[in-house]
Amino acid sequence: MSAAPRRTQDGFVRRYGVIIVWVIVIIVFSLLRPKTFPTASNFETLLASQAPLGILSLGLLIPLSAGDYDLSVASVLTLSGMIVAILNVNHGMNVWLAALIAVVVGAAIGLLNGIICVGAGIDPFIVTLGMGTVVNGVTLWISNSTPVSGISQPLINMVVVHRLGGLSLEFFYLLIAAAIVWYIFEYTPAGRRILVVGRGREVARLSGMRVKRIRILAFVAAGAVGALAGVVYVGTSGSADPTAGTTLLLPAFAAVFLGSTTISPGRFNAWGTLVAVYFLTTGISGLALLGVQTFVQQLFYGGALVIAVLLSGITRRNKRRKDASQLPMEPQQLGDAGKAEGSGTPGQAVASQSPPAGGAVLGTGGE
Amino acid sequence: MTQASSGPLLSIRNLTKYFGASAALDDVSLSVGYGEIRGLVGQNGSGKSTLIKCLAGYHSQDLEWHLELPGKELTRALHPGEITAFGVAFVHQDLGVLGDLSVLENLLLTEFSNDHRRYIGWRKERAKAREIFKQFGLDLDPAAKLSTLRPVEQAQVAIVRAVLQLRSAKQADHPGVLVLDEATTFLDRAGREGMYDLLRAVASEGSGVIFVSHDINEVLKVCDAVTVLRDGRVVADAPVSELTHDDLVSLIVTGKRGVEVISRPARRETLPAAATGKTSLEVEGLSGDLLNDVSLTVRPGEIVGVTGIVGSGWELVVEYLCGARRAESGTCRLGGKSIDLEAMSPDKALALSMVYVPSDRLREAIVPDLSLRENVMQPVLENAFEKGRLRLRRLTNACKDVLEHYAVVPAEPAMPMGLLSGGNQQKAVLAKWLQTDPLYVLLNEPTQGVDIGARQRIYELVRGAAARGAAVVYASADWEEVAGISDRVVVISEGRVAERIESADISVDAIAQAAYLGMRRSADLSKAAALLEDL
Repeated sequence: MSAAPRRTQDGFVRRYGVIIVWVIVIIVFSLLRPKTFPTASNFETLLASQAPLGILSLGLLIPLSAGDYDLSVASVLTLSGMIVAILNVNHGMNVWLAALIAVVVGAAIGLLNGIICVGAGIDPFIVTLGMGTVVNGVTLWISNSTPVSGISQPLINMVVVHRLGGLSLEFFYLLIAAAIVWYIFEYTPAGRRILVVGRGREVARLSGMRVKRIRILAFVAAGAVGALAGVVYVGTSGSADPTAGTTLLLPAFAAVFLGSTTISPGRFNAWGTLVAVYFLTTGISGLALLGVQTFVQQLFYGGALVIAVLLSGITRRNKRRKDASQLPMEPQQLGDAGKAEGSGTPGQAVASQSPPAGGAVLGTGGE
Repeated sequence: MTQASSGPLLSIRNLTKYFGASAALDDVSLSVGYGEIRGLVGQNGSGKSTLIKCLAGYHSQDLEWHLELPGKELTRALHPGEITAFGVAFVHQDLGVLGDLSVLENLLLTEFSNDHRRYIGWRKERAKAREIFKQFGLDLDPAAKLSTLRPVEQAQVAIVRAVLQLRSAKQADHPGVLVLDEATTFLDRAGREGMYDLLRAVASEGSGVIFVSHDINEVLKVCDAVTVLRDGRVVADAPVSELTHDDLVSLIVTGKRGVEVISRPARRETLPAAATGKTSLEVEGLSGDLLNDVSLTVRPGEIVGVTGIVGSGWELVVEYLCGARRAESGTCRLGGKSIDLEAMSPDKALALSMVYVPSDRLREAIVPDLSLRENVMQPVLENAFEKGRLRLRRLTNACKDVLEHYAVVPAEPAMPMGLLSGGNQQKAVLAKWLQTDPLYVLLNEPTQGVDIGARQRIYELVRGAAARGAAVVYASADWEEVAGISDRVVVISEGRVAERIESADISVDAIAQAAYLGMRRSADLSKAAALLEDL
């Protein structure tokens, strides 16, 4: 029963599949639009402009890893941007102080999410859906449903104007954020605990983990990081739009799920998420250069989410099958593992109200 | 009323199945006659599950066999589910029942998936269900929500459903074969009687039963004949009347008869000298749910068994102690510290060096998708956190050492936990906690669903923990096991301590007597008498 060689070619393709497809997409668009697509300025825009979406996705990744959906993150982003704009533009407050307040408000919304979901034991999907709508309402209310522009220059400077190696600073903020999230999940006991909480809540509780606290903190982190993304967002555009951020929810989910099929397959992971963000935006920007209409954006993001979830389900199943092939004598345990998380025979639906584990949304069959 | 038909109902001949280069099954034959209950036993990895999976159609490659059913002969592999149409139905370990649905809805589940009915006549279906329950002597309410049923009743529902499936098999004009794939593993020993009665009733209708189990007593009790697999080969095929308990154990473990194998822990004559500086676990006035004012003391180095009959609440003792559930009242003294059990939680228990091994391994003890490293090293992650980050390589190496030390096979830190056999999973769970050198160890059914070889190892591990000075509470429904491993036994009956049996007096009979007689002292005299008769 010795372990078979692990890094096969097949494993490489699976691990870096999204990156490979990304490169192919870049090549295709470059061939189709050789004058506009493969230009330095286009790539610079591509890399830098996605910082708000990227940071938002990283925030979303945290509660997803802990097994909870948070559908309010994009609304938090919008509210956060609006808070910065109103305090800074309408009330003349220092922009950094305004940003700090926005992040605190975001964390507070996350705390409220956490307390309702975890404390009262209500399904996060519904709670955060409602909370997101409430937050949207608040945003429209405090802004009178109109965009606020005229953000102080220092924030804009620090986000888009100043450059490093030709790229706006916001790109590096995104890199730093991804590195921090990666570090937490890969190299700290706390991150590992979140992972166990997400995959086996009861196991985690009986192992002495403070499951409730961990879940609530994951919501708080998502709120704070979402708000931070909002700050970067107003820094990018110099203004706050009361509805703009909401359209980022779907791409963020698509990025996190697509990200879970790559780099560290079968697991929500920061670098994978980053790759997915860029894959998605490359597609959108290329399509825009081809002159297709804007509705294609919705088709692309929506399609990408469904395909991402499908892929992450397949990734997981393949991984299990491959691992099983190393243990020729005991395939039954494979089936048991499948059953334990609920899939396949009718009985498996019992457990299938379980929260999203890395790419387990499809609840892939035992066999 | 066994059918007059002669010859086997289902026969597998010369089944060989390869995984890559190694043969998981090598020239295996198995047959079931009309009205026969055929046991299929063997350790994990012996090939029983592979055989069942071949029948169920989950293995299509590298398979050679001769499969015969009345009027049917095949040499090709089956498609998943194909065999159902030939009159073979399965009940697996997880039963495949839905707790939120009614008994009746559960019974109809498979029909819903196979039939294309436009309309369901609920009244008619209810009457049909009542009739079949009556026929098999079951007292079940079709309208009851399944989750309100006892585990054994849930299993009965699963079996009845499988029988209905046999009856509705369109391509079969024979009574069918029911395959129970370790379906009794998660049932309480005392509650299994109801299962055996049902199986006998099913067999008396002429159906064949293939009964896969780890439990030798159970196999001897319920089966007519038994096939023993070892390393993918049949090492015995005999009527149970020709086999003793020791024969079977010997065959399973060594492949030969007459080799002495200890399947139960032998009594230990002397207590290990209690480690100095370690303190006793003293529980007082523990109440909650069924439990009423339970007290017990466990000294360092001592293993105290906690047991009783099903429904007496014995398993609650450990669940309350570690805070897996909240007790209504009670205190626990650990080394001079007094803790209210109403406020106990697993994290507090852990902070006091008290560890808990739950009975429901798949749902409470392991994360099947995560690697062994992530499962086993979880309590000691902090040790590998140095200079701001987890030292993953060191963690992996430490994990390998731990796995080897606790005889987990394979000792592969990167292997997903779910791929291990039940016994190895349980060893890994013990390794996870015992590596922390805990002062207090609470075990809940630690050998459930574990084969004989691994059981031995688990007993050794538990003894080892006690020898290092841990106070161990060993809760189990297996009286032989409890009698063998415990230094003292606390028998719970109807939520109260019925008897404390001291070391020299421990025996299965003494436990049984205390467990059943405890009821006599309470109001229900007739119940106790009835149960004693069964004994």
